[in-house]
Amino acid sequence: MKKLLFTITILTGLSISIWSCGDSNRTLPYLGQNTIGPNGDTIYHQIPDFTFVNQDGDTLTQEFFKGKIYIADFFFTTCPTICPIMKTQMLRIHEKFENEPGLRILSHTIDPRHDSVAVLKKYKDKLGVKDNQWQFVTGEQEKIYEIAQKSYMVSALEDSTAVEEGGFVHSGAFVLVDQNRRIRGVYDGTKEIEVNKLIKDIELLLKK
Amino acid sequence: MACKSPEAIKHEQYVIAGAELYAKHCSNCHGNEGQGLGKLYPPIKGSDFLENKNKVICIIKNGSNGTVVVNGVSYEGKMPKNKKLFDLDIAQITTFIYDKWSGEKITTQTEEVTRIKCD
Repeated sequence: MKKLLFTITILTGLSISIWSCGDSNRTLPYLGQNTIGPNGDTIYHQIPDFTFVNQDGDTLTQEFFKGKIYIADFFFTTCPTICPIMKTQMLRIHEKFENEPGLRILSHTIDPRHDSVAVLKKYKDKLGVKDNQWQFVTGEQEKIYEIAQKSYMVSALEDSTAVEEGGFVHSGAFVLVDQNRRIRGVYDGTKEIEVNKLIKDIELLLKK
Repeated sequence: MACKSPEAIKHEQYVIAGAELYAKHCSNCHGNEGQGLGKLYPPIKGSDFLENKNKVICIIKNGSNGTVVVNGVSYEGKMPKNKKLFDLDIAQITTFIYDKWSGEKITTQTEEVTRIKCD
């Protein structure tokens, strides 16, 4: 009898731990520097307002992402190293959520001198992206670097000594932003396994 | 266990070394499975470009600046020449590519890469 009880206890324990690992109870963290508001409530780090120009020459602001979740990344079209891998992975996400109105993708160029509106348009077309879900933007280089580093918390900078990287140093991160402009995850966009995790997290955020 | 001929062993060595070199120098753009990326970077798997091995060796050796047509699709942009690749490396990459995506068991020799005339 004792043995049976013991077994039951173990089994119950196991099933509880399996249950609590289930996706339904999983929540994503809020990343970034949080502050305490006047009422003592936590104010989470938020992506501030921004204004960029997209591949069609239209102005693109935070309004386009209002009430949506989105993934942000930083790249440049002539990047010989990690960008093609990032774009292969982002394309997977785009294709998986193609008809999902609650998700958008925002790719910023970190080489606006070269990546004009026309260059971005061509790049988007050649990648085979036909709809509006995935936006490619350019703008003032300083503004792009600032929002990358201060808001999305990823590195992006020009470095002429980084010859093999094409003259720029930047992270291959995909940043997951929720419906309230808060960062809920940062993933290595060059690794399939990390992007699989991102896909799961997108599904989780979309449910809420 | 059947003994392998020296040629078969060399082929195997080239394929293994070529796979590593491919992963390091080529797969960023052409993909792990040689699938390419949209109309930005051409595929290698199933590519009609493989019909001319001299052209393949030359493009790895010298890079390409102009438009390349693969399976009827034009790809612009340049493929950089990689100065770090020795002729042996290029022979191994070529051997790997043809083994993997053409099922060809012919080893590309280093001397072929050295002597080849490219336009």
